[in-house]
Amino acid sequence: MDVRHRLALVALLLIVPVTAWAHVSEGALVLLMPTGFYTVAGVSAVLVSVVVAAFLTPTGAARLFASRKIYLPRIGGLRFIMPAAGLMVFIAAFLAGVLGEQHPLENLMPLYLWTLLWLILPAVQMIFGDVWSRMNPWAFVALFLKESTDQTGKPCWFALVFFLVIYLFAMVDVAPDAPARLAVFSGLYWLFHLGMMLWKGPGWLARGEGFTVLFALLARLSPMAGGRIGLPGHKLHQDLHPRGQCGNNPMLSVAVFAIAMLAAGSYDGINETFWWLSQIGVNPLAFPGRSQVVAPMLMGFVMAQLTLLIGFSAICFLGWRLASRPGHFQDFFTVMSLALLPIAAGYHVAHYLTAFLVNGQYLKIAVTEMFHFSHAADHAEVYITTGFFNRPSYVRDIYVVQSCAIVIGHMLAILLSHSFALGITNNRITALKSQAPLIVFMIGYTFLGLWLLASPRGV
Amino acid sequence: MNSTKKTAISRRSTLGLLGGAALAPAVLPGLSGFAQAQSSAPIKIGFQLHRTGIGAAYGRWYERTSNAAVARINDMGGINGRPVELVIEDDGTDPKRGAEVVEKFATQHECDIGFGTLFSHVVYGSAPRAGELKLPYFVCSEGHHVASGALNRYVMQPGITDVKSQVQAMAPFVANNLGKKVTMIFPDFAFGHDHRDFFSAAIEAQGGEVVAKIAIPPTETSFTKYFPQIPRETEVIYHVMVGPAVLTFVKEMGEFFGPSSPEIFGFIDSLEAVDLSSPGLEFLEGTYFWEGNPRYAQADQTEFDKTYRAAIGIDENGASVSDSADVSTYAHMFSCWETLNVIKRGMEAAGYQGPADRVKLIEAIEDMTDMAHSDDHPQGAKVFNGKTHQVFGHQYISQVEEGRLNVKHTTAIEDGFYEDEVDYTTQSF
Repeated sequence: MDVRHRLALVALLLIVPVTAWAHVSEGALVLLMPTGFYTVAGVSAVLVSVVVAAFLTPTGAARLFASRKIYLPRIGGLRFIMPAAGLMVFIAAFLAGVLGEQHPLENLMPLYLWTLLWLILPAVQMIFGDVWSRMNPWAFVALFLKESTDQTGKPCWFALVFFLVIYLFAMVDVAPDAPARLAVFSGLYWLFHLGMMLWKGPGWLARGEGFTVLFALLARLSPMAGGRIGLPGHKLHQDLHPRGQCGNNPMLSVAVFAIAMLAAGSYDGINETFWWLSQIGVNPLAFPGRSQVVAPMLMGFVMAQLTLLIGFSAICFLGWRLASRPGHFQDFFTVMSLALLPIAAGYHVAHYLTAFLVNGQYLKIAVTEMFHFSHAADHAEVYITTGFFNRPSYVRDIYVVQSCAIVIGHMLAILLSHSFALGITNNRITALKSQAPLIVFMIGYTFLGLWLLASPRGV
Repeated sequence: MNSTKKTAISRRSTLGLLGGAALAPAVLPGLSGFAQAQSSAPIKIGFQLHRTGIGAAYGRWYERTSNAAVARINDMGGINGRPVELVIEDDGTDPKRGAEVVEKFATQHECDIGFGTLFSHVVYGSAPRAGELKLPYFVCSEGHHVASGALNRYVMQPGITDVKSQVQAMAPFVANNLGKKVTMIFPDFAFGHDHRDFFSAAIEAQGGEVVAKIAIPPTETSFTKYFPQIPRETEVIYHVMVGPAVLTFVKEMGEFFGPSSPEIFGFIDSLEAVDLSSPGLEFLEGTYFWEGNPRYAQADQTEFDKTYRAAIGIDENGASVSDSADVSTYAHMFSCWETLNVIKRGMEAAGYQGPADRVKLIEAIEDMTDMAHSDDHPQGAKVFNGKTHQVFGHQYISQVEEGRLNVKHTTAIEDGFYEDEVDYTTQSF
C-alpha cells in the first residue's frame, strides 16, 4: 500500500464508524471473581516465605536446597535417537511450513515453534530438566563435532540479542505465525547457528543461541536438574553457592539474560491490558490490528527491558550498600539476578496457560494425524473447543493455577535470593539487610503478576 | 465460543508435510464428479479469514460455516458444473494484512473472487485494494460501510443486513411494546456512536425520544456510578456494551434496579458466543435482545434452520454438538452461508466461467432483488439493493425466558429500509 492509500485508510478509519466485535471470554468471568481476595492471599503467602527466609541460617539454607542423586536407567542408543528425533521434527516442521496448508493454527511449523517450543518446552524444562540440549535441531550435528575452542566461561551476549529478537518477533511482528514465512526465518536461523557451530564448535549454542540459553536457565529450576532431586532451584543454589562461598560466580551476561526474561514476560502480560492499550491511545474494545501498533509495542518492550534492568540494578545496589558492601557489587548483582528466574518461570506458566489449552488441542490433532495411518479418520469431525472459557468453574480453576504459578515463583525467588545473600555475607542479619529492598521489590512484583491476571485484556 | 471442523482441506497440512502439494487434489472434496463442465477446474473463492488476532473467536465459526456451505454446494454439483474450492488466508484481523491477502487472492492464487471479511476496520483496509485489482469482494461484516458509499463497485454485502438497518428496524417494536422514553447506554466509540445515532433518529420517527445518552469510556470496568444518570422517566433502557466487562455491567445494572427495572433492550453482539447461563446474566431474565438469527431453535423452527444447524454441527441451543458450552456466533455467521449461496446464484446467472466474467458476476448480483426463505437463506427472506450493494432482511427480537432466548417479534424487511446513500451502478468498472 503506498503512502496515499495509507493516508486514505487512516482518514477513513477516523471518520467512518466501525463495528465492534470484542467478545466476552474468560476475562469476563475473571472480572466477576473476588480477585482482590486471591491477590491478598497470594501476597500473604509470599510474605510467609519472607518470614521463613528471615530465619534462615547458612546451614538451614543449605539444608533447604539439599538434593539427592537420582538413579535413572540408562537406555542404550538414546544418545543418538534423541538428537536425531529433534532434527527430524524440525525438518518436518520446516517442510510443513513451506509446502503445507498455510493454516497458522494447524500447520506444523507454527505449532512446533510457538506451541511446542515457546509454550510447552519451558514447562518441560522446568519440570524434567534440560531436554532441549539433547533434542534441539543442532544436537545431532553436534554429536559429530569436536569442541575446537573452550567455550566455557564465555559470556552469552549473542544469545541475549537473539532471545530479544525472537521475543520481539513473537510480540510485535505483524504475522509471526504465517507458516511459510516462519519456516523461512526458522530455516535461516537454524543455518546461521549451524554455521557458527561448525566454526566455533558445539559450545557456541550455549553462549550464542537464544533458545538454548533460555531453556538451560529454566532447566536449572527443575527439581530433577543435574540428575539430582530436591526443591526446585536446588541446582541453581548448588551452582552459585558451594559451601557457602560465592565461588562459581555466574557471568554478568547470564544475569542480564535472566532480567531480560522477566522483563519480556512481564511486558508480554502488560501489553494486553486495558491500562497499557489506553496508554498508547488504543481503544481496547476495538484493537486496530498488529500492523497499527508496531512502534508503540516495540517502544514498550524496550522500555520494559530498560526499566527492569536499571530498576533492579538500583535495588541490588541499595541492598548491597545496606549490607555494608559485601564482596564485589557485580557478584552480588549477578547472583541476585539469577534469583529472578523462578519469577520469570511463574510468569511464563501463568501467561501462556490459556493459549496452551487452545493451541495444545491443535498440536494434539496434528500429532495424532501424523501418526494416524488409517484413512478412516479423514472424514471424522474433530472439533477444537474453547467452551471451557464459558464455564465459571473451569475459569476459576485456570485462574487459581495461574495465581499459584506466580506466587510459588516469588516464594522460591525470595528463598533463593536470601540463601544467596547468606552465602555472600555468611551472617543472618547482614543478609537480611541486603535483602530488604529485594523483598519489597518481589512483593511489588507479586502484586503486578496477580494484577495482570485480574486485569481486563483487550488483545 | 468457537470450534473448528477439521476438514479435508486442513488435512492437507499433514499431507503437504509428507509428500508435498502434489497430493493435495486427491483430498479436495468431491473433485471427481464435475467432469461434465467445460472446465472441471475448481472455482476458487478466496476466503479472507480472521484466524488469528482479535477476530479469531468469530473467525473459527465463520470457517466452520463456510466449509459446511461449500460442502453443500459441491454436493449439489458445484457452480456451473465446477467444484468450489475455498482458498483460505489468515489476515490476522489486521487491515494491512487484509490488503495483502486480497492481493494474494488476485495475483498469487488466481482466485475468482474474495469473500468473508468480518471486522469493519479490516474491510476498510482491504476493500480499496479489491477495487484496484478488480476482484469482486463479498464482505460478511454487518457494517454500514458498503451501503454508506465509502467503498467501491467491487464490494458487496449480500448475506447480512447492515447495522443501520438493524438498529432502525428495532424502533417500531421498542416504541409500541416497551416504551417511548429511552435511555441509551453505549460504549463511547464508533460502534456505540452508530447505535446512538441510528437509533435516536429511528425512535423519533416512531414518536419516541431518547431521554438520556450515557456514553461509557471503553476502558471502564465498573458501572455503578453511571446508573444514577438514568432519568426517572425512562421506560426503556437500550444497551450495547461489549468487551470483557459486559457481565459486570449486566450484574451491576441488575443490582441497581432490583425487581423494579424499566424494560431493557440490548443487542446480542454484547453476548455473542457467551453462554446465557454465565453468572450475572440471571439479571437478563425478561429482557429483550436483537438477534441476527435466533440462537435457540424455536418452537416453529423451519426445516431450513434444521438443515443449516445440522450441516455446521450446531445443537438446538446454538452451541457446538461436541461441547454444549462452546456457544457459536449464531447471530452473525449465517452471513457466510448465505453469501456463498448468493455467489453461486450470481455465477449461474452470469454464466460465469472465469476471471474475465467478474464484471458479469457483479452485474448479475446487482440485478438480484428477492431472495426467498430457503435452505440457501435459512435466516429468512431478503431483498437485495443492487444500487447500494447491501441486502435487507428480517430481524429477530427475542426475550430471555428461563435462560433461553425466545423470539417475540420478527420485523418486516421494510422496517430496515432507508434512503439510498450511494448508487454503485453508476460507477465504472
